[in-house]
Amino acid sequence: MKILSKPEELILLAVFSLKDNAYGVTIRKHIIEKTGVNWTIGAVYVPLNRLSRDGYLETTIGEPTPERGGKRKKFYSLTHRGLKALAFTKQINDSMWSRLSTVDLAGLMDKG
Amino acid sequence: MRTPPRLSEWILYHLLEKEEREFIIGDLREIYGQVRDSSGNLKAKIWYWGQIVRSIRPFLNNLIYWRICMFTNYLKLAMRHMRRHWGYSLINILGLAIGMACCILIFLWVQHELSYDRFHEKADNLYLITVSGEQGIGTSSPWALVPALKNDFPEILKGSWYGVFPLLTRYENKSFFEDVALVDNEFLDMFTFPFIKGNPEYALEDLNSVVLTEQAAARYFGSEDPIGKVIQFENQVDLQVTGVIEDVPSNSHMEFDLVASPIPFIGEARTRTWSRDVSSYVLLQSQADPVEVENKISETIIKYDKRYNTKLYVALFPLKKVHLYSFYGTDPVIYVYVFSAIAVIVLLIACINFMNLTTARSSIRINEIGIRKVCGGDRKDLIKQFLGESMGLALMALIGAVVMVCFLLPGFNSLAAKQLEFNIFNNGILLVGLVLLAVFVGLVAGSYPALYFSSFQPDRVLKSTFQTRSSRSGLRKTLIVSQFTASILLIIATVTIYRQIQYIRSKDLGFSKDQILVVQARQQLRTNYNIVKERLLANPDVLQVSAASSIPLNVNTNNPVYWEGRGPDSYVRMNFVCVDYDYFETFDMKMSYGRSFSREYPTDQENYIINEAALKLTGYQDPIGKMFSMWEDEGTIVGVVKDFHGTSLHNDIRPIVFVMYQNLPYSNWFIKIRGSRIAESMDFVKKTIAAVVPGYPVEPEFLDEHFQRQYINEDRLGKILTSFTGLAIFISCLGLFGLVAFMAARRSKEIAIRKVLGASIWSVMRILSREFIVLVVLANIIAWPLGLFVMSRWMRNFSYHTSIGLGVFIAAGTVALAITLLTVSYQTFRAATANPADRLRNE
Repeated sequence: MKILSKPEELILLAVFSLKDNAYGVTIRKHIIEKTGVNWTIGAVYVPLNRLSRDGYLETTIGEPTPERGGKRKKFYSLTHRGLKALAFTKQINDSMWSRLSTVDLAGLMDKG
Repeated sequence: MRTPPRLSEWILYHLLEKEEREFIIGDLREIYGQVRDSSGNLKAKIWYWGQIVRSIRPFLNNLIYWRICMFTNYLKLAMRHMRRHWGYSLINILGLAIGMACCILIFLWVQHELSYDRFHEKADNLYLITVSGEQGIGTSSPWALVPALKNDFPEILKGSWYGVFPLLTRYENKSFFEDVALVDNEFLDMFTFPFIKGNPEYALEDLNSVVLTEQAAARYFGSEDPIGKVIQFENQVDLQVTGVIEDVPSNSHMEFDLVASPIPFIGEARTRTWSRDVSSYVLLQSQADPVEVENKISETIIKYDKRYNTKLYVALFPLKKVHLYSFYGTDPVIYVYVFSAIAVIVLLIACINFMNLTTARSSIRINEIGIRKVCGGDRKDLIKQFLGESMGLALMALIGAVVMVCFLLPGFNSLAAKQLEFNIFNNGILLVGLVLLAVFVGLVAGSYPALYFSSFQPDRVLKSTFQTRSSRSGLRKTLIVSQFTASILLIIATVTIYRQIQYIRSKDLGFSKDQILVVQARQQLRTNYNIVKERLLANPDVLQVSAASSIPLNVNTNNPVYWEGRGPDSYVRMNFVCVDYDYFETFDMKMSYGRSFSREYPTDQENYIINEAALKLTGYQDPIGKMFSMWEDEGTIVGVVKDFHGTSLHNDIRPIVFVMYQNLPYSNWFIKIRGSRIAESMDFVKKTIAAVVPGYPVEPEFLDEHFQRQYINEDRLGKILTSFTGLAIFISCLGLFGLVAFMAARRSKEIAIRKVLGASIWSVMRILSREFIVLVVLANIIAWPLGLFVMSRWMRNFSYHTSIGLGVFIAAGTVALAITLLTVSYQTFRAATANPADRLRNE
């Protein structure tokens, strides 16, 4: 299984937590809120596009709304493959982090 | 404004893959609305622009990724398709490649022809002086003219004689015959012949100097420095080398190896005379009016040369036109047109082929089109796919053509007697032209399937009952007919030109030109003519020896004549030849009245013989014994010779006067030898002359060779035309072959059913061939009148020509039909003899 990049991981997590309301605007907003970094649209949509192409995400087309200038929304949801990829990433993250806790890290930084 | 800035949205729109456009633009509008509500209009705009600018890179990468994906898919399918039908693909590409190769070759040729003499920096203001009287225009002008003009008229900046003479040269132990241009000292300043060594302004200042081309210099001096060396000419004139110029380019109408002043050879007194026997070029001021100058030149000649009265026309012939336009007869530029036309026709045939096969082939891809449409490919994508594919094929053909040209160029060069070079990177027009051509052919050939197939409804296409044949055959038929019309036209042209060449060759010229050696006698030889003649005749293999001032093929000196009954005011000039005894006998010319010059009549030196054309002009009923005079020498007419074709058959027979001045140094000697021992006789002639006058070797030539040279253009045209016609027909057949194979494959089930129902092989073949034969017959009907029109126009260039018989047309039609039948029958036979069970079994 391919290891997800950080943006991909964050986007998948965002889609997961947004449930039925995951589309471009909300996904970007969610990530900006959580990370505090101002992600450009390109930085969100290109990985989104890639993830759906690779089968981690599936899409459904929503209804057009007036504030979007009559354009429809594209909703994203996790596929089985997407869930598996998240689980795999989590497992790797956990095992990589297992020797190091946040408290230890803070202590090491104080010494340095 | 509720919507984001229009320009930024437009940029975004084009950056996005089309499926994503709607959603992403919608999302952005939504966020834009939010930003605007919280921070105001201006900030929202700035925010939007910021987003776009920062997103360009990722979006662009994404876009390119998808484009490459689609492209690889197109490429993969195209390659698969080509591999599966490699035979058709090969025919398709090969046909177009051959057509393009022909086109490139002809283009190179035409380009070279049009580039003649344009390399001279002052080419626009350089003119050749032509002078005309009653006997047509000539390029010979008086020696004294150029100095007089330079003296009298400020608008004539520079002027020079120009005449090329073969001269015998010697340096140490090396001796050659060289083409020496005898010119004025301003010559190298007027024309652009770049100097490698020496100074163009002073190189010919000293009359005893000579300038060599690089090649000539290498011939004499090898790697030594040529400057200051002395070359001896004609065993008596010593000239010092003062400069070396680059070799004369192949696109110069002037050809020479050495340049020198004429004065050491002919003496200064001669250059002050008004005898017309040199070409003259002048350089005019750029604002001077050539017509005005022409009048001034004419006045000058009349002023100084008392022999002329008012009937004299001077024309300034622009240097750039000298190569392609002639002073009389056919302009050689016609060959440029003819060859360009051939190139266009061959290319047209190849393109039609390509279109036909491409459309035919793409119709079997109808299912792929259906699937693409079902999977969301829209019309634009399909158009792009098909156009791209056919352009790709055309580019492949172009590469093939370039490779072919590299291989064919040496052969073509020897055929066309040129030294053309093919370097597409040096030849901007050609490179751009070729790529444009490939793109254009690709576009045209691809446009039909691209536009037509992409319009189908996918459900209709995917149903197995879908048929496209009936609706498309109209176009294809038209194309085949035009293709064959072109081919038949080429056949008609080739056969007619070939017949005309044969006609010229075999036409009774009125004199015999076989087994006659021509010796161009140089000055030192001429005085020894009688001794040489005597010694030559001692050999039984030598049948006749005679001499004249010019060869019968090239009589163009003309002089004013007078006869009884000519009005004193009318001024008539006739061509004249000085001949020795036995002239008419050597050439087997028949007399229609009187006798030829004879030793039995000592007064013959004052007598004249004229030809029938001249007789007609004089209007004498009984010419023998009548008074005739040339210059002021009064004499009588003793004979009238039958007309013979002296100049080429392009022209009518001109009036000629023959005189016999014995002891006049004749410059052309004619030796008729026995046909059985040609090599020995040739050797004997050379040795005899060398024994009489040592140090002046001669190169006897057969008169026949001189004669052939007059028709060298027709000869070349015939050969080139034959080659290209062959290729054009080959391409047509290639296309037809592919097309028939394709049709037979498409109708394989129909054929199988016909056979099951009892049709014979013959009847199946007939059904399959019928369609094509009708088309070829139709093409004939169109091509015949067109061919008649074009070829009768061409024939008008010849004063003497064959008729265009019906036979030519029938032959062309039959050949076209036979080739069609042959091509078609292979495929139809294969289709008709196939086992019907095999075809019907796989459903």
